[in-house]
Amino acid sequence: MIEFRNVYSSYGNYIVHEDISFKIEKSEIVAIVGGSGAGKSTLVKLMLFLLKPKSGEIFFDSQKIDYNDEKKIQRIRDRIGVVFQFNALFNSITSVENVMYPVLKKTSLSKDIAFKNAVVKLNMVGFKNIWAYPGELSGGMKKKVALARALALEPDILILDEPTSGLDPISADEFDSLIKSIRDSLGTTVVMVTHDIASLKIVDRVLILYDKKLIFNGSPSLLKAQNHPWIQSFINGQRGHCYD
Amino acid sequence: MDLTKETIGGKVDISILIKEHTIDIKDVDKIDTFGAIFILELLEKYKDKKLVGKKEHIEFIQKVKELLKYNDEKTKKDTNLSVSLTFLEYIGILVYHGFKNIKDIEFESFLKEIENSGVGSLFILAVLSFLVGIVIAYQSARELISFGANIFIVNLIGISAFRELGPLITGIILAGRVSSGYTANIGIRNVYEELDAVEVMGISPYVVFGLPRIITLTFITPLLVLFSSNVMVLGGAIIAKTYLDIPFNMFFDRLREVVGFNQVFVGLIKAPFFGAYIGLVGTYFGFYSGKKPEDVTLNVMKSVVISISGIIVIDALFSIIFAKIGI
Ligand SMILES: Nc1ncnc2c1ncn2[C@@H]1O[C@H](COP(=O)(O)OP(=O)(O)OP(=O)(O)O)[C@@H](O)[C@H]1O
Ligand SMILES: [Mg+2]
Repeated sequence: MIEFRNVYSSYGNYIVHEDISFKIEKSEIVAIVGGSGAGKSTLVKLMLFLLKPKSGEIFFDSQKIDYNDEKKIQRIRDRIGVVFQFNALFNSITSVENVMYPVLKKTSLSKDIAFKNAVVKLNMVGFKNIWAYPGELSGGMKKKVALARALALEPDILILDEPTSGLDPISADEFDSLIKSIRDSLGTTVVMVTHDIASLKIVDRVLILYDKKLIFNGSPSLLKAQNHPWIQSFINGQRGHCYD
Repeated sequence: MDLTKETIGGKVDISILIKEHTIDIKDVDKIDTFGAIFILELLEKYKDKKLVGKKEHIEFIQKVKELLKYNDEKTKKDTNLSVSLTFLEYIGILVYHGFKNIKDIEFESFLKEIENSGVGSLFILAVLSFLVGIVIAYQSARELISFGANIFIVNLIGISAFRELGPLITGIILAGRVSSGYTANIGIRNVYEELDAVEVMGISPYVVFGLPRIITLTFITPLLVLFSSNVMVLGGAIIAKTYLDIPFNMFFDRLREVVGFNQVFVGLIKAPFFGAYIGLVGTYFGFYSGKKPEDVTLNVMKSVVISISGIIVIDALFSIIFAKIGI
């Protein structure tokens, strides 16, 4: 579905990624893991074409991305649902209006259908307080609304930047199961950035970024056998022991 | 046929789905939430008809139906957690915090405010004062010529600039430029919990973000008023020279005679009140805006409107006082 080939990226002269190549298949759940500042959010920006690689190519459905073809890029983006690291909900409208928003903007469907769809999506993520403004919600509740909004247009791909950070372990578990059930029932491809080793139990594959490079690309069950010191401390550190 | 967000919404010919006793979606290949909602609406409309179709589609529609329940009660919580204080209470709090935490007041914050609010306002103040001076002088010049009373342009422009127009223009510009800035700055800090963070560090946000601004504005407004009045007179002098043939030296000699200490004093005595008022209003609406971004938007608007109208009211009050005591 998405493929990176020898991608280099940078902010000005500051290089973030060097020679990154990987492929994400349809209906896979892929985790992107790495330390703070490793370039995970930047990788997400590359997948959303918000940032252009310095060199290398990105393919979507086996077609090479042409950064000059804005229409095409927008068509691809319309198939992607995103939850940004900091939610980016609109604070001036209610939760349900936040979820209606993409439908009203992107389709010619009526307000009534947009509303019903928003209710379905909010119920799907287990969020009840639909008339609340984002400012009135806890961090975990905001994540749920943001996920519902990302699901509003039934995307083929869901990109989540640290969806469970800031959630208590039980809510985080629920959130993970939710993601998995969405994939299982709708066949959505899921790319999730995470720091949370416990989330790896729902993923099919892990990509690990370290020192600008992709140092691991494989099933989470293979992580234990890796010698790389960062991976070792990631899974064997105090926080890693839950993944036994 | 598909029943998805791309096809419904007027674009599907629904009549083929509606049979005599059934709603028939056997021929539908793909259905999404939007399609399911659409079918549920049809079922609602044709209550006597039964839905027939592929098993997985019917199950999916059933699932969507279950997810369509919602709570219709708009229990509107009052989100504005900050107690809304009256303006006078706010002044009390400022004084109290100011005395209690006097050591937390940083000297640099005064310099920064002088630069932001004072120096930063000079250019726009100069341009507007100059233009007002020109406009007033030009309008009066035409009248004065017809009476042969050219030289009175100096009385007219000098007295109105120092007594009224300088202070008023300065007040209005500060109200628009500085008051809104204070509200936005403090309000955004409130939204991002910076005020809470400062308070937790044991520092009063009023002392860090409020007092230095109000105090600075109180002291620099008289200087700005003096600046504005002088620039305005300069505009008048240029018109006097070009239209009324009054040379500069004559204009300024006469100015010294007609604009005495009283006139300048009347203008200057108002200025600190204007400054304090604008500072108070700007910071007040910053501290007591809610935690939502749109609360800040609303409060910026309020702060500008209330500052400007307040300036005009204060100015009027001073006029009454001066009339009573006869200066
Ligand atoms: N807009 C930007 N301009 C310049 N440098 C940036 C910008 N955004 C990120 N960076 C830098 O790029 C690097 C990667 O940042 P990125 O946000 O992708 O990290 P991350 O892996 O998502 O970290 P975290 O886990 O903390 O979210 C960091 O060193 C960061 O300082
Ligand atoms: Mg990040």
